[in-house]
Amino acid sequence: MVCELDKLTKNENATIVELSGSESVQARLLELGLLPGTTISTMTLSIFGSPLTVKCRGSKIALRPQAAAHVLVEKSA
Amino acid sequence: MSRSSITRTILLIGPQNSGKTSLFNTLTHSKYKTVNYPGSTVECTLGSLYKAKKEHSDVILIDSPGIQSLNSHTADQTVTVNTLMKTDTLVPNACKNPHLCVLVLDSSQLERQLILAKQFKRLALPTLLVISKGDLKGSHYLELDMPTLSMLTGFETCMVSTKDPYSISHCLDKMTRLLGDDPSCQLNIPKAIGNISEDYMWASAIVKTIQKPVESPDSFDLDKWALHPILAPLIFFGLMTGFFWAIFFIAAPFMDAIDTGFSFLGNLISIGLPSSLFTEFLSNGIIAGFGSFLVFTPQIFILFFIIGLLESSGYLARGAIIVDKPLAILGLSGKSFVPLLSGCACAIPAMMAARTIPNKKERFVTMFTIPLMSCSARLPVYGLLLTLLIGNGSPFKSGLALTAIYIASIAITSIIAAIVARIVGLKANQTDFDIELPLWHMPSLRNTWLNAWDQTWSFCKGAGPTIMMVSIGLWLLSSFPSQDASYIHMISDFIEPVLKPMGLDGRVGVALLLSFAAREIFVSALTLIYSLSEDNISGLIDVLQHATLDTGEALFTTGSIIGLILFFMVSMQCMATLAIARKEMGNWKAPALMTASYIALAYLLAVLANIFL
Repeated sequence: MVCELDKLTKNENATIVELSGSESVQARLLELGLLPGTTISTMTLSIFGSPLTVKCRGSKIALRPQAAAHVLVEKSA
Repeated sequence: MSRSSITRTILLIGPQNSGKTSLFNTLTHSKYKTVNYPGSTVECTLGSLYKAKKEHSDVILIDSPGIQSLNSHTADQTVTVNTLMKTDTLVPNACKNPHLCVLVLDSSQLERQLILAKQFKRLALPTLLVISKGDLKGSHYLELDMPTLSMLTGFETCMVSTKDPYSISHCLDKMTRLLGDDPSCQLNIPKAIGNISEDYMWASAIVKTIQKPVESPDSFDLDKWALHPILAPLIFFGLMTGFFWAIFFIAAPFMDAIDTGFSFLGNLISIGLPSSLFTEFLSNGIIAGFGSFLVFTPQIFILFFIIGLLESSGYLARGAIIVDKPLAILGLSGKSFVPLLSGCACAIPAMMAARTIPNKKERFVTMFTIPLMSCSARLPVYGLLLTLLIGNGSPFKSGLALTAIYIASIAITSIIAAIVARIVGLKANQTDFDIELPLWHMPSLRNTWLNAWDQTWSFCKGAGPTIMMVSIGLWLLSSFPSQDASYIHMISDFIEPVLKPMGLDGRVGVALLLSFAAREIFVSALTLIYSLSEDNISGLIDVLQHATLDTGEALFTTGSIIGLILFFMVSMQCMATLAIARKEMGNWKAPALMTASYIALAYLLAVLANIFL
């Protein structure tokens, strides 16, 4: 099932399918290592717009839900 | 210098937090502070390469701010790229590019950080790839196949752990070999930008080949608590409250000891030496002046020590995530957290730490509001004023009152940040925030202790001569032409009308005037002025508590003391902060506006407090 990264629940694994948003937003997401094909797992979720955290490429990154909404992911079975 | 006049340079470069500064300290035998937070080094540091062989003592080693990729976008990262491309602007007689780049990558974050190696391949500069924190190897981290890493990246490699002297000398040998003997410059290398997706795929493929997948034991992850939606804010507030209370509670016995020591010394002098104006100056002026300032050094030490512990543990990055949302409402982001928190110690490093903020407007607002955070130089002032307000007996009340002061100063900072953000055009939730979390790290108590000691010592060294000069100057001014009609009287009479609305007299005015040199001067200046103008004193606090206005009313009332506290919270009184603001903001306009508006606001608040309290 495909959805935005900020819609995932806790401790879910997923693979990035596609990035959206402006060129600068995409460039920043790529720089963080969030590129299509990368597997990620969610750690903590956003509450009231606070940053959410995911594990990706062996490290933990935090980003705001607005940015995470530009990352389209496919949930792993 | 024998063969040519060109200075050879080695640039330490790599992502934030990969251990460049640790390696730099080991190689140059220096002790720059290493911090477990992305972006702790914001300026390049130079050192000469330590080596038993003398011929390499002229090689300059450069430590640089961390970069994620060569397409940098924050002020601190631009420093690094500029150093890489224009080394000659930093080191006289150097070539345009460094003779050798030492790319330092963290072994536990290799998949992410190896993209820099790919970007360096495009630059085609002589490069040594150093994999750091090798001591984590074998624990729950990875076995790395270093020869294959060399083969696949095309760089010479070495593994380094600052705890293992053999690994250091092994890497140093490789550096020396790659540096070679030829000091001549290479051709200028253009900045090559590639495709970051390709870089990541290249890195992934290499890491899969060289890293034997080790099943990491399911160790407990501190982030389960530190980032927990409900527990995290509680832990955060707990830590911050503990922080301010520790400043008062733990410091109290040490402060008493210092206070007793100086009183004893003062008495010894006034009893031992023949009674004269000079003896009085020595015991009530110099000794009491220094004592009243030095008594606060335990608090300053504890402040630096706790900030040091937070910095090296990796907690600051978690803190930044927790406060991101409230800061976003103001128009800032979690990126402003560390600069603002550093402002609790000193505004100068805090202003420099603001370079890590990518958004220019946000960086400006943060720098503009940093002077409002209560820095360590205000502690002596608050300490004195709180003693006047609630007496000496209860450290519990004092701790509570100090916490209230910090909460109030955070509130004032927030309000002004929100206003300034709107003026420069930042609305709520408009900024961006993302951060790579550093690994948790057990802080080294020894290093944190030594560093806090260094900072406290340099604080005393910085203030010492000023206090001395101010003390002597004040003594001269208050003794001539005659003690009853001295220059101090004239100055204090002259400025008295300005102080009247604050409920204070001209003597406090003189001390306030002097505090514009540095805030902590206020305490020793006040001590000196009152001990020289009052007879039969039995301690500064006693003198101040009985001091009266011309009208006979008490000088230090609840209103005037709270007014003074508010004045010190808001007023911009530090020349060094003004200088660094001018440098970091790039013009005089904003710092001048900042100074004028903060002084005006401080005065207004003090007057209001005096009227209504």
